[in-house]
Amino acid sequence: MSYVAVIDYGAGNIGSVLNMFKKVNVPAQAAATASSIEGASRILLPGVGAFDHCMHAFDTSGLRPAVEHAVHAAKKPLLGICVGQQMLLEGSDEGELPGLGWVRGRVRRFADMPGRRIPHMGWTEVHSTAQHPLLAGFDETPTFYFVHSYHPECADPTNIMATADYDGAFTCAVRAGNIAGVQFHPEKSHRYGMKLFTNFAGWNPQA
Amino acid sequence: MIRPRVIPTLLLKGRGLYKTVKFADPKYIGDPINTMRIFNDKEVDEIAVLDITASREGRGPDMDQIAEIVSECFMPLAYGGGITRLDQAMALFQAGVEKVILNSAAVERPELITEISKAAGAQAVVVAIDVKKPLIGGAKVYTHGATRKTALDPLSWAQEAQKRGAGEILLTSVDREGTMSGYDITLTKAVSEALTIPVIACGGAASLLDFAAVLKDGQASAVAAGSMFVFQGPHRAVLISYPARAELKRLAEDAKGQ
Repeated sequence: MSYVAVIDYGAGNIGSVLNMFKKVNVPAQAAATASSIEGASRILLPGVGAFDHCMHAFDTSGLRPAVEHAVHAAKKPLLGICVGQQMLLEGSDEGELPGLGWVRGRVRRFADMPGRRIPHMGWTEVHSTAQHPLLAGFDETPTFYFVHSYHPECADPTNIMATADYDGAFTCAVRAGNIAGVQFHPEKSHRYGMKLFTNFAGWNPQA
Repeated sequence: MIRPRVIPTLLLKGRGLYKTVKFADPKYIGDPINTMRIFNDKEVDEIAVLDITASREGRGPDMDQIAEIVSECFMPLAYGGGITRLDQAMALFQAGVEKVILNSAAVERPELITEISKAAGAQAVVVAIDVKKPLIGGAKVYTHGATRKTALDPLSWAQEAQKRGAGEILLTSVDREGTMSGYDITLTKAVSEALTIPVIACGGAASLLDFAAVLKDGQASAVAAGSMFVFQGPHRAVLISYPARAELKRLAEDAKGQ
């Protein structure tokens, strides 16, 4: 049976993510062992909290080699959410530890500006900048729930999947082949999130 | 620009949902799971669930009940009530709760704010501040479901909460709660101006006009309401409602002029 492995490395909102997959009838399971990652057809990398906390938890979980193999050798589709997306880049203003470096660029903090409260928290329209299957098939501009102080800054603009506006445009979704990441929380974004998770389940990067 | 969040607050008491007036006279609203389903269908921005008797009874969160509520919730959920330890907060996050709301325990031991904020990020920590204004003298912070008066004034406590790692303040006027007489705009403005983190105004909402006023004049980042979303008509018949998307969009455009 094909299923989505939701990487359970102790720094993710696993409950919400599994809940949403269940809602859209996509088989998914929390994956805390290498074999449960090897058996999966797709990988979801969640992440909540500080960048270093997540990177450290991922490195010490022992799951990193299995995820790297799944992504680079087996070319399974991977979706990173929130800090799980930020981890895909080379590093972050928030921490000292290097990121995974699968997407070139860094994670930046929103600059302080009068009247702009940080974190950016709430529902914001997401504007697709690439014809990406994950953001396809919406009948209106999708609105997603965001809660974050940091966002990716891609070194190569072709890695930008979508942008959003918070007193200025910022990158809110990235892509690189079979790897994708979103800054917002599809698992908490009603029908927009349901659509994105359904799209992820049907995404075939090699096709 | 971001659309200000409009957040229904649901009050848990035992197995049921209740609505209070000035934190007293709880009236039964319905079953939490069923009510959550209705709010879910209405695609609400975010929801806050507060166990109003946990702290008073000196007990922690009812994890089984919360897990059941969360399984019906496809929007961000904040939970408050009886959280006194980091491990309780982590268990709530694991269950699918996005944010924990701290109140009494944060006043008793402010380090709790920092502990949870460090482990889960500031965005996951809401500090709820319940405020009563006496006829004479300054406003004070109350805890334990507004049954205990503290020496804290709301402004400096909000600033300390922010400094200690709170990502948001849920600011409730106890005097207005459940009265549907409008928000305490003066209080909200004073606290919002003193902080860089978002302030959610709570207590007194009766209409979209109240939202617009506290967002614009009170400089709130978000609004919370209870009675307005669960009662209808002068006899306070129970009926779950939530503004239509177009109304919320208009509200956002109005508030932008702040």
